[in-house]
Amino acid sequence: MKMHTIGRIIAGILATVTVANSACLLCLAEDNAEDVVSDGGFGTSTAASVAGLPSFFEYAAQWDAVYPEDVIPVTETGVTELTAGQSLAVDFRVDRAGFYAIKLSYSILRSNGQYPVISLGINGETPYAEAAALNLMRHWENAWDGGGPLTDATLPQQNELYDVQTCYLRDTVRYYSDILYFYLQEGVNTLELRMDSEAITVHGITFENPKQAADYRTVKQGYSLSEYSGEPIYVEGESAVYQSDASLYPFNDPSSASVSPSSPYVKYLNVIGGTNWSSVGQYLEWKVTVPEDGLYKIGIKYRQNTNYALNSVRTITVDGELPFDECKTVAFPYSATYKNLTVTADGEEAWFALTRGEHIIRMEVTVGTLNELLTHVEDIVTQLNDAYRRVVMITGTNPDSLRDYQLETVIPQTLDQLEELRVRLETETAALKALYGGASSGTKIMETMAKQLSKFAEDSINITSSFADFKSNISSLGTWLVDAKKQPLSIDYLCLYGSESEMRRAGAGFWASLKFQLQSFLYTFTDAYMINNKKDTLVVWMSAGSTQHRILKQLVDASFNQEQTGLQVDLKLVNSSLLSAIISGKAPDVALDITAEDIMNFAFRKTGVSISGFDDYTEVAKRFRAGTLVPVTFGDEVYALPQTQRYEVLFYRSDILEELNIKVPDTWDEVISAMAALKKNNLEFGIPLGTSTYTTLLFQRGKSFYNQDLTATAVTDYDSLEAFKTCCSWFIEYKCPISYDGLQRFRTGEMPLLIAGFEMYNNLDILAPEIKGLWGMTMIPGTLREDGTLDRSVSLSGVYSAILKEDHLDAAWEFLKWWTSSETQLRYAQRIEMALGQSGRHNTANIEAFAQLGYSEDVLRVIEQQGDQGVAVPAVPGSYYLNRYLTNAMNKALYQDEDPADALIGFAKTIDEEIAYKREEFGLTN
Amino acid sequence: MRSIQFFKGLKKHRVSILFSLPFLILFFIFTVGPVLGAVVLGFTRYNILEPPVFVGLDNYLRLFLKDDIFMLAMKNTLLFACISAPLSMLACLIGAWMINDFPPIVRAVLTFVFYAPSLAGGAVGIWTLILSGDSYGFLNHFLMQWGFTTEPIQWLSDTQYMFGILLIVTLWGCLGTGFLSYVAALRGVDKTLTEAAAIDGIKNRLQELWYITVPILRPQLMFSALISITGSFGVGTLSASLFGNPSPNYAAHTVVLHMEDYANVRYDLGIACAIATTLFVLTVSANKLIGLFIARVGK
Repeated sequence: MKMHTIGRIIAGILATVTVANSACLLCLAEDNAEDVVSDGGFGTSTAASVAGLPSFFEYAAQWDAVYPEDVIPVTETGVTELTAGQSLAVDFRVDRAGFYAIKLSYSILRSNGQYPVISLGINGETPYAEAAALNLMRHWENAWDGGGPLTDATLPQQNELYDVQTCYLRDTVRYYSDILYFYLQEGVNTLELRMDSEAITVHGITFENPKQAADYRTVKQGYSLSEYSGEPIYVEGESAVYQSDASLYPFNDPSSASVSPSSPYVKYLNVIGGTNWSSVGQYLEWKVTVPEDGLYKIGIKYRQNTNYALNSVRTITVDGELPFDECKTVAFPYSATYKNLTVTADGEEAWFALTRGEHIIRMEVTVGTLNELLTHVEDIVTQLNDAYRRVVMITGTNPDSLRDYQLETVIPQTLDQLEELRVRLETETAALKALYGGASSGTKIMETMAKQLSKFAEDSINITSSFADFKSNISSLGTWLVDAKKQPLSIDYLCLYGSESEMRRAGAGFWASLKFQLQSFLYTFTDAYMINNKKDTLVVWMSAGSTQHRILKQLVDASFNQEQTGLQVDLKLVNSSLLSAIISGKAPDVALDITAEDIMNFAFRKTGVSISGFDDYTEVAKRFRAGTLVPVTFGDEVYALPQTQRYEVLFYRSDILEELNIKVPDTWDEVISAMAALKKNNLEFGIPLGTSTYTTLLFQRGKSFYNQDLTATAVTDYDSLEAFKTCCSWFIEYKCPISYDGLQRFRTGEMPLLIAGFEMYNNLDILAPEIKGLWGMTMIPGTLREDGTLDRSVSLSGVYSAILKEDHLDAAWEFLKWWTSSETQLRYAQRIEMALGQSGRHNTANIEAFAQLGYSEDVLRVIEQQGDQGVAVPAVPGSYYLNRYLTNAMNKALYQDEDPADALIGFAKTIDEEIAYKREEFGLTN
Repeated sequence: MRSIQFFKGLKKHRVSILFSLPFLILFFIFTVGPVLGAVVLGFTRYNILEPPVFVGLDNYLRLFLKDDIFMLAMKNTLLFACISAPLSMLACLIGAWMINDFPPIVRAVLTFVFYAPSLAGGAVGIWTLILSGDSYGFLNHFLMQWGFTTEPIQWLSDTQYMFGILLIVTLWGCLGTGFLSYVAALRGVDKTLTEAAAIDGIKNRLQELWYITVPILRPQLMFSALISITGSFGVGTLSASLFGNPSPNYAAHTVVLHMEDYANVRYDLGIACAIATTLFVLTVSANKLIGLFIARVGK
């Protein structure tokens, strides 16, 4: 019976391993989810250097808290226009020293649709970090006539209003998130207001402190009206009239029968807000008509299912006034489902005095209770990153856990710093727990970090043995910081009611829900869920996300002239089934979001439609960089127009390079010299392994992939082989990491030089607030040519739009022209950015539109200069073979110690054979 | 005369035919039809978008005489089948046999645990995380922490590891169906037989396994063999999701991947169909061979 027992043991072990695997999978999935952070539609902020500036809290602690009641007008009554890059400096007199807030009246000038960003200087210097970048809100109108319920077929337009707005300047970029005060000395002071992006007209600036509103108890004593006793008055959330952002549009929540209005068949736009309504300063306004003078209670049906254990906070004003002090911070606690909340004050449901007629109720995202805490944690994260890098410089990113690096003697200050940070973290954890009465994801993350730091303090050898954890703890703390600032809230409806009535119940009840879900399920079998191309429509397929689809649909309805072509545009969201559609004869007229390779595969087999024959083609082609058309051109025929473009640039950490005395490299030779200094400090250079690096190096030597008439490869001549060898040498001789998470390593500073697509600028700008102002981007290093010029060519790529059928050729061409035009691309890009945030920026291939995307001047200059040097690989039948064998040759060189040149030469014949074979298939002469 | 007999037969068995008709119709439309279609298309040059052109045996000649990669893919596939099919059968059998001795509740839990990987067929993602080439990949991290290596190993792109990794991941995933059928069959083994065998002089459990259990399990062995052979000839998606298609230097290239390469990347459906036909013939003959072999087990 011995076998018996052994069998059991083995089975047990196997089982444990398998279970552990799945558990592992789960926790990883969670980790990944954390990395996906969108920025809720926030505008750009400039990378003005804030290093060395104190935070507002540190600034304010320098003086006694004196807030004089004086009102100091700064500008004369005249108006001043300020465009990006301009600034305004005025002198003014202060009679009483103390803290003052700034009240600014401004109107927006027609521009890119981002938040205007300003920075402030008092007497010639920026007083604190929060004053270095301030967003001003815009003003939008929800153009809905109110007739009939909104459905996804009748999306309302959001129109921008350019009227004068007045507000107290507040921080919306960093973590302080409240009205900013400036300490003014007695006598003459100077205020400088710099416009960093977008443009405004300044109508007036005054220094004055906001008046304190009376509290509810006081206000209540003054009430003379009687309590309202009629039926409750409901105001649907989606009927909001004014708002700060175009991204605060109504949307469809099909999840429940209780949402008003809802139907299993029609997609009503029944909710407003959501994750887009989460940044300080964003507001929504509703119009409410009350039938009689009286006292009303305000109830709100809401859902806040994003921030577990945190509140979303709103300020409620009626007709622009704060009814009583408690309305300043109305907290909406976490709730997974829709829930009713009545505004309370002084321990009871609060009454609002309203006169008969129309009123505007405004809800604005305001500071959470976390602002001070978040400011502290931000500082801790910055310091942790700094400490991390200091350790990396001694130990490298993969320390040997068996070795004692003697960190106590080498970097004693850093160890002291870590200990100090631990104490601070513990204080903040306790503060957070006190605020929300218990543990939450934030306290867990901070506790984990603090626990690790205390282990470090026990013995410095622990630093090296759990180094990877250290790094991931820092980054999850950074991610939490970005998340915790957000205060999303969805609103179904507002309700005004009195003493005789109650608000409708928020839930739908079990049977109603069951019926609703069943009906929804059955409805999926109907025609509404099928893809059928109607005969007399221009069918357009796009394969992006549903947000992109919604936005483009709105644009088509609003600005594509469908009468001119005589055809309705039928825009469909279809993912990756073009080939099947073509074979079955259901191909769309126009396909968006396709790769150059796909469209050329169709074109070579006579399925694509050449657009170079149209009279105005040459005009249209001027919208793009010539290079971007190369991959979709064969012979004289062009088969598609580019939508987006992508190429690489060099990112660098200025603080680290300065510390190590490294100049930002202009040539590859300079990179090699910089490598020595980097390696000495265990830092890395990030360069992507793959064909893009090789292509760039090849182009910089003035070479190409193929011979003149594109019938064979040209990778075996001397210069091309040199380029290939150089490319491999980065990984063989210089040991650059082969796979890595560039964003993370750049953030922590272990990879202070990084070659990556320029779109990473946007991610760094939002996701890495802790290194704001400490990094820059420049053109990719160049190769010195024989004639003494520096060639900084880069490999271009992009996504394309093409015509696939000749049935409605003219209409399809009109559509393509409209879609790639500057106006459409710009409007599309702006709306995408409003909905998805800066990290979702649509990097359009249209040169004119690209310049207005919202990149700051200096960043745009770098990106454009680099793009002008862009070269693309021409389309060749069988081109996939070249990419494939380049990878294979690199693989052989890297892992099998083969000579790179030998490996490539060995494959050249195979590639040429495939090209010849495919040319023969397409009836081309060899 | 013959046809009359045939129709008589139809009439006689009309009820049985009626009952199997729904299946037969679907089987012919979705299985037999495409197979025949592939055989025919295998003799043409067909790029999907334009009509096929008849080229005779050209495709086969090109495959067997000119295409080195096809031969490599054949070698990989056969080698893979020879190693993985017997191994997975053995693993399933041993696993089921061991589990069988547990009390029912524990057995149910363990059965689920072993079967789970095949349910989560798409969960190869976990392997790409474990085997990530980054120095923070799980395996690399531990290897480096324990000092086995100083720089990260590129598990998924270094050709010398790829075949082994493919084998391990496949075995992990395919302990499913075959295993389940063994568990079920083992419950059906008649206790009296083992008792009788004990009296007849069976000395240990290994002997019991070989002389009693395995012969009784012969139908399940047959079934499991078919499943694992077809599985290992058809391996491809797993390799593609681990290493990409084509894998670096074709190190984990299999016949199915070669077929997909021809069909989806190179738009050469004619050749892809020729490969499919070859694979079909190969699988059928392998199954026959296994059948012969299984018939001798325990005799």
